[in-house]
This record gives sequence, structure tokens and C-alpha cells, in this order.
Amino acid sequence: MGSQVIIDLMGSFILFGWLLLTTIRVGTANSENMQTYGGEVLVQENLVEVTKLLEYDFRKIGFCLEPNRLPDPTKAIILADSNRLKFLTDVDLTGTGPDGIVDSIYYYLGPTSELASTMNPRDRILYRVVNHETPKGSNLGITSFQFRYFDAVGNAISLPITGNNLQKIQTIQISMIVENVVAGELVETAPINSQYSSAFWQQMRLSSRNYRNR
Amino acid sequence: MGKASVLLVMGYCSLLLLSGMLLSDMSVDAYDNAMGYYEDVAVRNIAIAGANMAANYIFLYPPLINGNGWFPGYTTPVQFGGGSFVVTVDSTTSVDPYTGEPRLTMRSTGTYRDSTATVMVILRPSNFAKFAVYAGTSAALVYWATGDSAFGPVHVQGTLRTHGTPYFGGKVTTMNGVDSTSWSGHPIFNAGIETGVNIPLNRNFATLRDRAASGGKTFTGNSDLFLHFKGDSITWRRGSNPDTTSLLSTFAPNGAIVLNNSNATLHVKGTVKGRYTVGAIDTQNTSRGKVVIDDDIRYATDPRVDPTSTDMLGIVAHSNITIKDNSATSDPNFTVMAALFSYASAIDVENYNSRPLGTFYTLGGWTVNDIHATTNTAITRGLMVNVLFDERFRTTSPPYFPTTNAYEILAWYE
Repeated sequence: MGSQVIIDLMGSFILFGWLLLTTIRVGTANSENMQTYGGEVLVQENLVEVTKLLEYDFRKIGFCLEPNRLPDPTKAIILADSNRLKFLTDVDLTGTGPDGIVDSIYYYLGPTSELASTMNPRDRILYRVVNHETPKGSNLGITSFQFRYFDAVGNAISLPITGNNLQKIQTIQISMIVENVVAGELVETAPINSQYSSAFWQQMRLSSRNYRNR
Repeated sequence: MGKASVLLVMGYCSLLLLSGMLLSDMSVDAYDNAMGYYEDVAVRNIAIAGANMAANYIFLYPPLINGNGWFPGYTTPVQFGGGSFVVTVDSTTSVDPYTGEPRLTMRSTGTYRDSTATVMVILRPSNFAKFAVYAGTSAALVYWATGDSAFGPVHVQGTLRTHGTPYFGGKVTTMNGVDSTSWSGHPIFNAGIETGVNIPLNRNFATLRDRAASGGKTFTGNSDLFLHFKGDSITWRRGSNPDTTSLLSTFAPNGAIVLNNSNATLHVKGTVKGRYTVGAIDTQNTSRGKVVIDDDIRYATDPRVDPTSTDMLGIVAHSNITIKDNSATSDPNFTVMAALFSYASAIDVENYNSRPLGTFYTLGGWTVNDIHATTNTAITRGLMVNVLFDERFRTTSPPYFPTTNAYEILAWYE
């Protein structure tokens, strides 16, 4: 074994090591990208699910299959706050369609302390309570959930909205931010530079047709 | 070493290919997710478009009204927005539990790719009981001033004239807009206002007349008719003839009681239990078809106390409805629980210039062509007016109450 062979071996080791380090680095970057993209897809899916649920429920504000039981749909909203909304509607409780009985739905956001165990310090549970059932909620990564209310001519109604002013509500603006509950962490700087995928959604003017029936 | 490097490079390539596939799958998932949401929105919008088109047809050509035929909907798929919709209309699914009258149920089913969505709309023939105040063409000339308030739907068949800051708690519709600039101040519309709405007052008494003739009670002849509701029974007489007491369930089983082909006046008072409409519907001229309310009319069960109360009364007059001066026998106030309808005239207060000052409380609504003074100018004599809308009349009405010849939407499900 001559010196040339030793040089070849050393060169090979260096080349191999360089390739190995590159592979590891690419693998790590890929892993991060996968985590980030996966998180973004998850956020998007959560956002779409929440959006569908909100639109499904809010478009039924003031609806009742037996209209005599809810004669004035403008009185269907019974609580309206910046991040709370309670209204009357006819919920499909059995999966066979509305039953003509007036129900209430209450949406509100829980405190961040409820989800202190998650990595994201800002996520909160969105609760949907039908009638007087035990509040149910799931952590879909909602970090911001805001309502604004507008009257018949499009003017914003200032909070708090109480009494007869609840009847002024004609349209609702919903703004929501959903974040990944688990951060994608950059290897070099974790956990300082935790990356939470986020998505913002806003329904500019959501209105139930039942407001304008009568 | 050479082989190891080759293996390393091959593994490296495999890793990149796998990562690429996974990333591609995620992109596809995200795209699918967005497309799924888009499809949901698109199919719902198509179904809503179908419902809007069918509703528009029903408003323009109300089925089985004014000689119009039945409208079955759009049963052949209509291509729209890259998808299609079909609309069905039936009159059997929904029935008013108070009146037994069928409502229209319209279902619009939209299809877009492999998604479907259904919008359901319930409609009923609209009638004038749904207004707290309906001001016909003459009444539209009256100014609403500061202190005036209406808690319920208001329609003005003309221009709504205001002076100061009158308050409208319910939705207001007008045919020709609002004139709030002739005087200072602006009206308060708590539930909004819609202009360009034309709801002409019509004397659609045919149904009431026909139902009274078949299943109700019809009086003719020129002696005044006196009706005294007494819960389950009614005491009645013609002119100065003796009273007769009858059980209401046999006297007018369907609730329609009319005085027709007569120049006499219909008098009414008492306690109403059940659903009735009384009418003086001779339309030959405005000296006929008059109603006098001789004393308070109250429901046996006040719907403000018990919202499930089914007691309701309609009072229909071709000409005016007069509030009798009963101040000599009772307190100056007057209470009428009923939907009042005066096609050609107004609600008059007898001796409004001389009777003691009181308040005329109405639980129901006023549909009038004109509005007459109810107090003297100084408001020291006569009856001030307090109209409180009967919320039940948003969705139901006294039997065979005059209709607007149009349909209205009661519920919209999407």
C-alpha cells in the first residue's frame, strides 16, 4: 500500500463523508419541509371544517320548520359579543332533518389556559353548545375568533349589543385564525424559532335569509 | 468504497423521490381540500339560484291566486353555473296548525359534479294581518312625528312622511320612499327599511264570504247585527229583536261570520275564545259595510301572557270601524284585541272631540286606507292610540283574513 493508495482512501473518506453529511442535511430539510407542509395542510383542513360548520349553522339562524314557533326571526339572536354568539334555530338533532322545535346554538371560545398542554401557547377550544347540553369543543388550532355585526344599511353596530339592538343585526362578519397546534421546528434554532403554520379566514357578510323574511 | 458511494447516491435519490412524492401528495390533499370547499359553495349557490328563480316566479304569478294555475317548479334539470338544479313545489308537506291551511314547500336541489345541496323554502299566502300598521294611499299622507312609535311591521302605500324622530321597531316598507327632509329630525328604523314595495290594498273578501256561506255564518237584511262574544258561546240579535245565545262551535264552525248584502251596521264586543273573523263586507258604497266596536274585545287567553294562545279575531269592514263612545259606562280607555281591516276608510273614534281622554289599546294591527283624528287638537279629549302588534300574526292570521294576493316566505333552509 503506497502513499497514493492512502491519499485515495483519504479522498474517498472525505468525499463519502461530504456526501453523507449532505444526505443527512437534505434529509433533515426534507423532514422540516414535510412537517411544515403537513402542518399547513392540517391547518387548511381544520379551517375548512370550522368554516363549513359555521356557515352551515349561521345560515340557519332564525329558521324553524314550523314557523309559528319562531314568528319573528329578527329576534333569533339572543347574545352577540365579539367572540360569542347565541341564536335560535331548528337543529337537525337526529340526522333526519329539522323537527320544527326551536333550539339554541351557542358558540364561544374557551381560554388559552385550557390548552396549556399543547405546544402552541395561543390555541383555544371553540365550543358549540346546542340547547343545554354539556359544552362540546375540539382543538382545531383556533387562535383568534372575532365577530362584527352590521345593521340593515351596513353600519357596524358597536358592542355590547343588548336588548332591542340585537334585532338590528342583519349581517355578521366572522374573522378567524387557525394555527397548527404543533410547531415545525428549525433544527438550528429550535425551540426559539418555532414555526406555527397559520391561516386567516374572513366571511365578510354572512346573513341568514330568515332575517329578511318578515 | 465505490460501491458504497453508488449505493449512497442511489439511496439519496430514492429519498428525494420519496420526499417529492409525499410533498406532491400533500399538495394534492391541499388542492382537494380547497376544491371540496369550492364545490360545496358552488353547489349551494346553484341550489340557492334555483330557489330564487322559483320564488320569483311564485311572486310574479302566485299559484292559484288571481286565476293563475299551479306552479310545479322546474322539474326538468336547469343548467346553471356549471351544474344544474331542479325545483319542486308542493302544498302538502307544511300546513298551518292554527288554520289548517296548506303552505307551499319549495325544494331546490342543486347538483355540481358529484355534490348535491338542497334549499327548502316554506311560503304562505300573505295577508294584511301581518302588519302592525298598514297605511293605504290616503293614510300615507299622514305625518309620523316624534313620540309616534310602531312595534311591528309597517307598510306605507305611498311616501312615508316623518316629522322629528318617530320610532319604528319593526321592518318598514314603503312604496315611494321616505320624506324626512321637510321637517327636522330623522326617523329611527330599528329593523331597517325597504322602499319600492308595492302592496295595494284590496278588498279580497271572496274567501271570507264563501267560507261564511259554507261552514260559517252569513247574515243579510237591513237590521243592525249585534254580536257579543262570550267565550265558547255568542249572544246575537238583529236590530231590537231579542237576544239569541248560540254555541260558537255550531254557530260558525269555521270561524267566519259576515254581514253581507245589507246597509246595516255590524256591532261587536266581548271575550273571544277560538279563531274568528267577523266582517261587514257589503261593498256597494262606503255607507255600507260598517263595523262598530261597542265595548272592549279581549281574548280569553291573552297571548302576551300565554304565547300558545290560539284565540284570535279579525274585524273586516268595507267602510269604517268605529270605536263606540262608552265613556258613560266604563273607564275612558278602550281595548281591542284583533286585527282590524278597513278597506275604504279608517278607524274612527266616536265623539273624539268631547269624550274623556283615554287610550285606545289595540293588540293586533291596523290595516286602513286612511287615518282619522282620534283626539282633539289639544289632546285633552278623545282616545290616544297604542297599537301593539300580535306577534303570532307574522306567521298565521284570523281565518280567511283578506290576503295581499301574493305569497311570502316563512322559512328558508339552506
